[in-house]
Amino acid sequence: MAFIRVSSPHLHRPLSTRKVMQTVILATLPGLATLTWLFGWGSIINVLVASASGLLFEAIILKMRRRNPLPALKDNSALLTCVLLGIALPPLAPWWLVVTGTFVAIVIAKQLYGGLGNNPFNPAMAAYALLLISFPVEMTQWVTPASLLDNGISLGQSITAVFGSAVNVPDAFTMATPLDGFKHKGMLMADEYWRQSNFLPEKIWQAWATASIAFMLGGLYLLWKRIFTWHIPVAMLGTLTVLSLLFYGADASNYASPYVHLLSGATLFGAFFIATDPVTAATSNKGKIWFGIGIGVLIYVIRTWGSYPDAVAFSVLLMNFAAPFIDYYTQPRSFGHNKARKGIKNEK
Amino acid sequence: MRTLWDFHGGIHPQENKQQSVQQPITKAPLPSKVVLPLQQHIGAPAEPLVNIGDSVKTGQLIARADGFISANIHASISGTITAIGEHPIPHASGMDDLCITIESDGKDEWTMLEPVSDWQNADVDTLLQAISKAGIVGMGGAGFPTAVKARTRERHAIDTLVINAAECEPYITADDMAMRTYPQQLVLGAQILCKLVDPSSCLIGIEDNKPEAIKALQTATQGTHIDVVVIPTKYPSGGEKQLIQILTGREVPSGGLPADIGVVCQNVGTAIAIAKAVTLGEPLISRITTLTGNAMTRRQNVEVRLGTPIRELLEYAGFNADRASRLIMGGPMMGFTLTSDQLPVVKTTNCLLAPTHQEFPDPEPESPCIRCGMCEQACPADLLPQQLHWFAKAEEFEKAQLFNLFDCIECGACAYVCPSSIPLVQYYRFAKTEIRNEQEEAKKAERAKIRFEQRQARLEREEAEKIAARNARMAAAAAKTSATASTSAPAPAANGLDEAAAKKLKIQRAAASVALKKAEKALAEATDDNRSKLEADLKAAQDKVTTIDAQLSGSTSSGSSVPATAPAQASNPNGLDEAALKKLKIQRAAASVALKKAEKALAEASDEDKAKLETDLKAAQEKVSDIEKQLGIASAPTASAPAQAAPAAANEAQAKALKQAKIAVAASKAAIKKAEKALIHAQRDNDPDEVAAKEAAILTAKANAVKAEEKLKTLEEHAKAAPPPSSQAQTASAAQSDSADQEKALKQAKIAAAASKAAIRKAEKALTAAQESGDAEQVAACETKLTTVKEKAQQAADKLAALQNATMQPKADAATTDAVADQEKALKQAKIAAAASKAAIRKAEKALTAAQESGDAEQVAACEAKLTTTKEKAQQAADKLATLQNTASTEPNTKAQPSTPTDSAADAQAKALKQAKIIAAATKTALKKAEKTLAETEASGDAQAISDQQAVVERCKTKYSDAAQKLEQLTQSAGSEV
Amino acid sequence: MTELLSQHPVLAAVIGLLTLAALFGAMLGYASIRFKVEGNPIVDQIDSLLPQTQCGQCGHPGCHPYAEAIANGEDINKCPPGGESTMEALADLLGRDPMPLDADPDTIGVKKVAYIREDECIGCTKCIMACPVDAIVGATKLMHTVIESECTGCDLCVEPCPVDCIDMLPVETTVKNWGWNRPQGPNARFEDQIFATSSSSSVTGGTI
Repeated sequence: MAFIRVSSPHLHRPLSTRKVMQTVILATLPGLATLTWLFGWGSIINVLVASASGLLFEAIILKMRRRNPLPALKDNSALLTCVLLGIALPPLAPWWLVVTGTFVAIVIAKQLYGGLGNNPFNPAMAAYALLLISFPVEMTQWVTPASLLDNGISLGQSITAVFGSAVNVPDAFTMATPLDGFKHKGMLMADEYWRQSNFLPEKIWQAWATASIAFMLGGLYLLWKRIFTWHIPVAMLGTLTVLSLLFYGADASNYASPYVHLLSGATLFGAFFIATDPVTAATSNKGKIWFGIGIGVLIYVIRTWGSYPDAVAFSVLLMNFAAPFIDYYTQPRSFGHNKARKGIKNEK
Repeated sequence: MRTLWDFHGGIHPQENKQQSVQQPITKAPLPSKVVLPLQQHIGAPAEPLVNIGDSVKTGQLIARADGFISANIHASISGTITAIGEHPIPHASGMDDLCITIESDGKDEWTMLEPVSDWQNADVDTLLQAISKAGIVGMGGAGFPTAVKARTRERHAIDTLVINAAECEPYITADDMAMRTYPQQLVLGAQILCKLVDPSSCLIGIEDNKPEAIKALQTATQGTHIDVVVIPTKYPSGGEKQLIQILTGREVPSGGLPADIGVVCQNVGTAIAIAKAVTLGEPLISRITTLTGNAMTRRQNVEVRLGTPIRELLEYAGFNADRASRLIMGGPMMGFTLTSDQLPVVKTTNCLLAPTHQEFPDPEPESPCIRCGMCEQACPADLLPQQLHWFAKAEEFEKAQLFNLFDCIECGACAYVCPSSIPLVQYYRFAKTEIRNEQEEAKKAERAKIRFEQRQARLEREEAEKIAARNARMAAAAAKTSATASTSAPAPAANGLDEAAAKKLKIQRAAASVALKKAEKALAEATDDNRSKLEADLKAAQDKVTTIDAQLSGSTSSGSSVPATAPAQASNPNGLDEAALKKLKIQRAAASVALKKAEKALAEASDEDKAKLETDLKAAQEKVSDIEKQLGIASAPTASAPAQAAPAAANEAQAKALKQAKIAVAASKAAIKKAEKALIHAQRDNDPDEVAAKEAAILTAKANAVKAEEKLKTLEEHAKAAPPPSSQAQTASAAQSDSADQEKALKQAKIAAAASKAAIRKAEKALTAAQESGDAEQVAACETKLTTVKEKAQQAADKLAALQNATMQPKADAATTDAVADQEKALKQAKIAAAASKAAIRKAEKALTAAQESGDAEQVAACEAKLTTTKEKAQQAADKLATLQNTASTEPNTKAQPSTPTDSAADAQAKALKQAKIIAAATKTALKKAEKTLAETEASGDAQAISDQQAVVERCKTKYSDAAQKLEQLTQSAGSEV
Repeated sequence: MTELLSQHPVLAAVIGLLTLAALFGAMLGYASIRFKVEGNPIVDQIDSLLPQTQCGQCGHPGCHPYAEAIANGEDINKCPPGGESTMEALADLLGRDPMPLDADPDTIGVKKVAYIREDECIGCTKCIMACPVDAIVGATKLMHTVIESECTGCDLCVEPCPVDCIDMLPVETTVKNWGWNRPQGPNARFEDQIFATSSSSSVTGGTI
């Protein structure tokens, strides 16, 4: 027997970082499966391309930083970032777009800030935002749901679309997202716009709502597994619901309903998989609630009055900025103290 | 049903309590020996009452509580005390502490026990007495003396007594089994505590995972006012603060005690021990300990005597070392690993845990924090563990404290849940220790500062008193003289100013010599590439030191001459000459240091730059001889001029010159010795070039030595011729007042002689050792050293004899006490300097021996060089001392001469002289610099540049000789005016 | 007057500026008297950061003189007893760049305490006179001893001792001042924490 001197505790919960990340990746699978079912092979190809390139980038940059890449690759954090980015990008996005995205996410947003645990911004969303600004056309063309196409898109077609020389996906396969469409409805009243059913058939709505709900199920699984707490998703979705209800109730002809806000776009995916990224979120429970509220407000504001149709990425990034500030003011009251401390100044 | 509160966080680890509750409590076999640490509790260690060899009985008091917060220690078996001393103790550090060891006689004879007969009617003091006599401490883990805790009522109003039966740590079942087995005793203990604390309610808080114990307690508490409160199982509900919150909803304030909110909390084991102590009179000599973990075959609770070596318990439990992953005292969450199996069971040992690798796998390596916040969800103190971890990691302890680091109870919940397996608790412990140490140090620094300031104040006060006393004396003397004859007033102000200047110079000198030392060190470490640059630096530093020294000597001499000139100008030329002489000496010393260095560099240098170095060496040797010549010239007039005026002065100067010459001889001898050694070295290395070079060096050195010896002879002849008049003069005058002073000097000399004798003894010892080791070279080295030391001893003895002689001789003039006091001070300082340099020599010698032992030739050479330097320094100091002693003896003579009212003229002259000296020094420095540059240019080989530089050197030389001439003129005129 | 000024705008400007200068000068003068700061607070602040060993290794006679020197632009890296942390605290306070310590790296940070080998002490009181914090007690011809808790480890008593009986010993770690060391950080090897191994026979005597 070896006599060792290790500090207590000697027992550890068998839940490692690797397992946490693995569980989160597992939880994305229902959503990913639904996306594939509804929109074709595009998302899966995205995820695969992103994962392969992302892991490669991680290994290279770790080598360049003179770190041992093996433990870092094994902790699944890079893989999770790539999976999330792959899901967020439009299906059938050209391969170079995906690779650029993973490069930004892994090398710039994560490793240049010091690697896992030190990045101030959510790497997947930083990459997404950069791609959205740099390649607006590619980033806003979403594949038409398979149910609307006569034959759907075959795997071969998908691969050609992704790796082919064509700059854009064939127009036949793409269309604007519902949020995008609503954004550009022009002078139409909301109900008039919804009535143009040839433009926005029920089926698109169904597709988006189904995918969102599938992601939510994954998120609920994580909550049940206690990978994260309820504070951020509840605060974020609650704020969004309340705001959209208020405005929709006041002027239903100009503002989208809570239904639109919650079930289209990346709202649910973002609430459960993006905003809950622990590295970049606020820490304390109180802080997490403020963090979620901030995201909810920003999403509503940008979607309604901003120039971008969806806003999860920007909102999360903006609140990432604010996370240290929130932490500064939301320290819990420690046991045996009369009141919580604000900030890190010495109270004298 | 009572209302229960909840605390934030907490975890639910696997309990693993079933393994150790299958068997009833048994008594562990009597140990063959026990080891009882004197500190098994918080507070001061107990004070042993027994001696080695005493025989003791079980339950006998063997160490008494020392102070208010402390606890008694009793013998836990009968037998003989075999040791009182350091023994490893069960502590996270694995270190040793004082312990008493008792070897068992196997009989287990008990002492007489004194129970409290009727505790219900006994008064509080009797009960407290019984508890503190029994040495009971908190047995849950912290070990706070129970009697102290039971006394809290004296200062706080207590309304609730909590018996902590939660036992939330996994694996441990000691309290559980104790409650099942001794519920009556627990209730009795609680009742006694109630009597002591007098609360309005008494609660036993117990987790719901111990149904049998709950049932037993409920039966036992029927008919009493004690409530058994069942609380949900959650770690760490057994933490004192957490349990109090669960039961009462009150939070113990940060940094406070439960008593602050009216609660006292005691552990189950403690309550049972109290019951035993009061009703049976039994002191705390055993406890119930859980033996568990899958590396043991007999997992159960045992009643074990305190001090039992763990090894015996492990044998009893069927411990299999091959299966165990570690050995833990305490539970898996807060226990500490043991670093040996020789450690004893102590009062706070509630569990011995020997898990297998399957149970407690080695933790995964620490990975980066992902800020998941799980630790924060788990923290029972509502802290921000990950923030604390960042701060501890970055050693930002101030921030860690702001984030309430010290509210952390180290329960380990955060580290348990951490997915990155960061040893969070260790980070906090590290930070806490650092903060405590910092605070300790800050306190100490503050104390040191105060002590330093007080000391400074004291010294200043003493100095002021001395000056005041002296001024008073001087004033009295002046009054006397002015009454008898109109003479000039003394000039204490000028004197004070000079002193201040001298002090400043000294400080500068200290700084410069630090720089010099640094440069030398750097040189020693430097590579060949930058050696030349470093050497230049070194030389610059040396120059600086020399300049400052020169200034210093100038100012001290002027300082010492001021009081002398005030009453009488006769001593003026004498003092000035001395200063010049001193300066020359210093220059010589510097030059010879440079020489030595050059030699050393030569020894170390590679062949390529040997040639250059040899030129350097030669230049340095020339310089030394130059200076020596100058010295000779300078000392000659000093010797001749005052000889006409005062025979005593002449005598002094001569003595000085003599000593100087002797030093030169000694130095040159040392140089020869060194050169020879270097030669041997070179021969060993089989390098013919080097050998030749070394031989040449030896020859030069020998020639030098011969020269020096000749000079010495001449001087000695001189001296022989001179003394008679001076001794006549001295015998002519009478001076009893100085005899005390001389006695002091004598004592000093005696000490020096004793010290040198000690040195001889040391050297002899070293020699014997060397002879034993049979290393011929070393023996030779030791012998040489011994001879040197003996010579030195001889010198010291000579000096002693000389001083004794001097004491016999009567002294002149009684009316000059002030000047004498001043001189005494200077003398004392010089003596200290001499002693210090001697110490330095000894150190250098020691280093040399070490080097020789290690056999590193280079290091030996370096050490020898250093030794020589130090010796030289010592000689300088001794020289100075001698000078001062001489002045001390001559001063009275000069003072005795009649004074004339020409102070201002003398002052002006002194000033002019000083200026001249400064000019001379400045031009000299310039010259040296020019020469240095010349040497550099010569090395570069640019003919044009060399000739230019030579011109510059020439110019500098002229300037210097001009300055020197002027200086000489002034000195002579000063001399002639006498 | 007004006319003169309007005719010579230069004059107006000069007078105006002079008035302003006088006004501001008066204000500054008043402020310097009214808000005069006694002593030199920065020196005290620096002094409070220094370890107060009074060892003189910086080349100044004591900590306070060094603090004064630092305030006057002396380098902040000359305090080996204070070590890296003191230097950093000084850099922080003064807004200067941290610099490597000017000392032998082996000796930095090792806390030492003087110890007199008492049977060798001849009672000369030289060390007592040298001690800057009066941490040595003793009298002439009587053995001296160091008050360990007051000793700053400054080394100043070693030099004057004529019989060389003072040793500077590193402060011992005891159970009282022992503390956990800092964890090794990410990816540290678990084996590093093992400091002794015991074969099964030595633990149990080979009986089990």
